[in-house]
Amino acid sequence: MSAPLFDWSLIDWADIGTATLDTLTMLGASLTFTVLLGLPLGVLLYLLGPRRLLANQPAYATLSFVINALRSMPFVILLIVLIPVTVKLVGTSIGVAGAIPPLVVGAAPFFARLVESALREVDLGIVEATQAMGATTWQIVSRALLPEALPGLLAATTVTAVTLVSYTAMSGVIGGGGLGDLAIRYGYQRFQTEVMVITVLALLAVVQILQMAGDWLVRRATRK
Amino acid sequence: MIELHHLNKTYQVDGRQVTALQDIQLQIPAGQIFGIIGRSGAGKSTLLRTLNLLERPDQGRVLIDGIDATALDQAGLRTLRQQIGMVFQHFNLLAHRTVAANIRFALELAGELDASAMAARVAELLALVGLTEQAQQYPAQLSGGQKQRVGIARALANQPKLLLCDEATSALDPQTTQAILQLLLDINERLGLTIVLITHEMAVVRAICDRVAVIDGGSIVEQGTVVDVFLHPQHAASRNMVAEDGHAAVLDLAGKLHSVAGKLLRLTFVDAATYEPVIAEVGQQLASPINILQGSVGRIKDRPYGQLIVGLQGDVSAAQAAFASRGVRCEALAA
Repeated sequence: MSAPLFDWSLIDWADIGTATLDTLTMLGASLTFTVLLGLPLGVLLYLLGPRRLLANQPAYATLSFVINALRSMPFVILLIVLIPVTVKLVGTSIGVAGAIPPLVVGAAPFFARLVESALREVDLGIVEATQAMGATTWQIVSRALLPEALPGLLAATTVTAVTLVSYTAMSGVIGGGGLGDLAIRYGYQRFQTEVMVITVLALLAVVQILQMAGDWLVRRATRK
Repeated sequence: MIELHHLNKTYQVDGRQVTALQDIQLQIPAGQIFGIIGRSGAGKSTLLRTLNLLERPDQGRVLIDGIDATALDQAGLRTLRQQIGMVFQHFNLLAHRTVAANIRFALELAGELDASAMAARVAELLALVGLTEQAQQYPAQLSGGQKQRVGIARALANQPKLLLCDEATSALDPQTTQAILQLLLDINERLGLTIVLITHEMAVVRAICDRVAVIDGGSIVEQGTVVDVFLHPQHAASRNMVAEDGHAAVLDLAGKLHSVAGKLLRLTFVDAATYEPVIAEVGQQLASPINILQGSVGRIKDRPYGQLIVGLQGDVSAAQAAFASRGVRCEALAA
């Protein structure tokens, strides 16, 4: 009899548990801050755009450039470049806490772009009608644009969450922990294929659950 | 009462100057239904939007009940807009809100009523437009006519003195158009509010408007009562619009009438004259048969009218005098 392909007894399930928890912590915290930062940024980008409520070509071009610059930076580089900032913000540049600021800086510009395009999907006629009812710009954004764009915003959040899951895998570079880190350290560097298989399955489960939850929320919010 | 004084507006399109409005002078009496008719691109949409400053004119003044809207600050402008309802061609309802919540939206933005007062007002408006049953449905579940009823209810929510209609029936089928026009007429009569509507259809103007202005190339080329403009259009743009409508007797038989012997006359009857057997009487009086070649009879809003092109062999001036004495306008046409 040949040896079994995988020897599951080698796996330290406590490690897997901790890594899963680390991934979920990084994901939850970074997604929260990404939305808190990216949503206003995306709204601002939309409002400054051509023919929009606060149309301002130089301001739009500048903001757009900054967002593109951040988005074009490979995440691994961002992770290292941001170390001084990270230390200032959370007191450390390593571990789960150290991973969160670079994750947010990496994902917020991406999310802002998605917010901008979700808002552009809202019929300009609705903005005009709301304006004609005597609404302030703030009321137009908070009462008409954001609620009307809700399905698109939820879809954008789902895409961002999934992207963040793959970003967390790279945070192993700075000792960020999590499932991706575990897969690289055990599966790749120590040839424990079993650990890699389990971590990949766990990541797949996380992504799948996120996507299903996101789709369900989008369906519930859609009235068209 | 709305007065527009010397409104000008130009746009920059691909580096070129495009004139949208040119020296617009207009007075719109309170309580009337005022139509602005023009082709697409004539500037009617821009003109309508200057009334609530969704489009700010480059020059000129917009006086609404004596207040210069162009001079208002942001807060003043918002207050003014809350007193001006607006209805749109594509309804522009919020998809995530129910019918009732869409109507309530206007009240929420104004922020003057508490929750129970808003609910009462919404119920009142739903009854006015006949949508009480649909209160909890979403716009996606409604027909076009029902959506426009929601749009109208929403526009009336804050009890405006002025209602602006931007091609309000252009996206609707003919039957629904009639129902919506009837609703607008009803609202005008019951609430006494002024309605300004823009349209490219003469039929809409004919159905409900008291006065009409014809806009062409950014200028008002003609204005007056609908009866006058419709039956005796002066400007080429107005004549074309009336001709396309096909309800007035404009002479579109040119070249086909040379075989008709005698003189061509256009007779216009309005109100009482339409009920008299005028043609027969005049024919008898002149002892000359009158040949009806083309014509239409109908109603302009609530006024009956008739307009005929007739052929007459005999004395034209005697015929004109005979028609004039019976309250019928008679013009000799160059055949």
